[in-house]
Amino acid sequence: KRRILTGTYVLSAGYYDAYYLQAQKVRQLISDDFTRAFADVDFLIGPTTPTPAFGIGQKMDDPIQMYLNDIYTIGANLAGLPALSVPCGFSGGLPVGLQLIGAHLSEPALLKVAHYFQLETDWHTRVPAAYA
Amino acid sequence: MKWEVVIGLEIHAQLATASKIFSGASTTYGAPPNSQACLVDLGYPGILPVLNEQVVRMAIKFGLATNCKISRRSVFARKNYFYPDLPKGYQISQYELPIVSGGHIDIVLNDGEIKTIRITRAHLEEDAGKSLHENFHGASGIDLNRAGTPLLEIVSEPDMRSAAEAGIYMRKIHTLVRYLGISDGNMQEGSFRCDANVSLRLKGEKELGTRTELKNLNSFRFVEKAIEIEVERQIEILEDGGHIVLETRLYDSDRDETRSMRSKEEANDYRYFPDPDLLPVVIEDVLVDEIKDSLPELPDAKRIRFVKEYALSDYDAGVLTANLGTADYYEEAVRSTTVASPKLVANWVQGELAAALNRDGLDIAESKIASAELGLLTERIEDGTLSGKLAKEVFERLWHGGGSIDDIIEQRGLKQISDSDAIEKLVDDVLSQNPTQFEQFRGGNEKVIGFFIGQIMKASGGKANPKQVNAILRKKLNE
Repeated sequence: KRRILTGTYVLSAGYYDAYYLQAQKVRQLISDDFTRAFADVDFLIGPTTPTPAFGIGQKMDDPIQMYLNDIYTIGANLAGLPALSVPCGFSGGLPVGLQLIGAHLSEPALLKVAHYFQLETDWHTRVPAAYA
Repeated sequence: MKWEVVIGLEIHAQLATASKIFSGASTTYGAPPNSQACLVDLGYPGILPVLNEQVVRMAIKFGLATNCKISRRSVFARKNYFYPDLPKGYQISQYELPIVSGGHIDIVLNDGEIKTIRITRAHLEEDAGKSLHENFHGASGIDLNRAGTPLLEIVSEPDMRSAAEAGIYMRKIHTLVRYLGISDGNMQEGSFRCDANVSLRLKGEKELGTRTELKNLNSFRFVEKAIEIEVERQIEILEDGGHIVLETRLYDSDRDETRSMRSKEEANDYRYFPDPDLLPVVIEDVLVDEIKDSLPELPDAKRIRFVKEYALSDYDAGVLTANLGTADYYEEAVRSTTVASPKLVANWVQGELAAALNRDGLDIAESKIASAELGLLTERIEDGTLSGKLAKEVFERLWHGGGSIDDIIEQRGLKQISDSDAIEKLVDDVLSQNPTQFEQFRGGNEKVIGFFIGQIMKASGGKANPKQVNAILRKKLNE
């Protein structure tokens, strides 16, 4: 509901320029930033989420904290880039994801890199201790 | 009158494509309800719109024919509002960047004066479904066949100053879209709809008064009547010292009055934003040039050419060119004969043919007499074989049973009597059989000539050549 209302609000009369239009401009800057990065590298890697999984209902009172959990995956979506996540280990017994982002239309190569990673590692076969 | 009437028209013309603007579903009118709405039209989750190329071409055609600027880059936007006949909850339209804008057309007013009406813009959008409120026992039926049908919304500047001007402009646009082949302009079927924005201001005043928007104007006549009645209503309010409320009013043709539909203050905030599912429409010069070369001769140019080439009056040329089908039929008929004068052919197309089509409710394309046949008929009149009156009889026979003109003339013995000896005899007979009237003529009564002519025509079974009868009769009377 919050997402729907926010979306409606930023498009409404008097707020379109300040929010929606401005956001689209920022989005273009983000996209351009990625384009510049891919002039130098083939892929970007980083953590998929800022923290491992938290308890059910733990952050319900803080919507901003909830939204911030997506912060590392928003970029690829804003820029329209292919990205994926593969298991890369554990922290405190909880699984951690490695994010791979490629340039536009680099899906074949992206999938190959992920596949090679999984040939060299076995994190993706392991089950967290609490559920073994 | 101290008030100046200011009118702008918004016309929605359905574009005559085979499939919808953003999906492959059919646009054919009259199909069973909800049989021509695919998942894209129904707005199911996950669907994506794909632009129909034909609509872009049609919009460019219209833009070129109305001196508009063709936008080399135009954008589709979402117009958001909730209504049962709008499946997606938004209508895909164009907002800030319409496909064509800044044009004008000339209209000829009733007194012959030519006035330019500016066209602000024309943009592409999809039609919504249809809501039916009768026959559902307190509920409403929704037919989504129409959802997704392409529309060209044509917006004029508020340049019109009377209901009559608005009617002329609307008819001009109606003729134009049919000439261009982009819309069938069928108002009964809803493929040509018009809303009027009406406001008043004191003569000489530069600022616009508050306007009302009139909707539900289903015919040319209703558009004019609704505007007239609304102007009266507004004058009454203003003269009483009141204010006009910015609102939408529906025209009720039965009561000849307008009723408030909704106040514009309660109007939706449509929250326009560019549709993320559709790319901007990029138009290359090559396409514009190609379409420019393919434009048909437009109504005004055709009318002017008819006046010059066929020596017709401006009025006749106007009537013949109001409908492209009629204009083509007329030219084919004229070209099929080297004997009949274009003026004579024009009289027959506007007269007998039009009357027969009207009577049987037919379009010219369904005429029971082909253009070449009509050409031959007028040739037979021009070459003296048929009198005008008997030609009408031949026309009726042709219309109802076909056959060939010459056969009919032969079989019915309708050939005009042009032999002077035969006519002289008829004249002599009638004069000698009507001594009383002859004396009246001698006594100075000129009117009795008509009586003689009537009698002669009757005696000849209507076949005597009227011109010769007249000439020979007068000669004999004056001997």
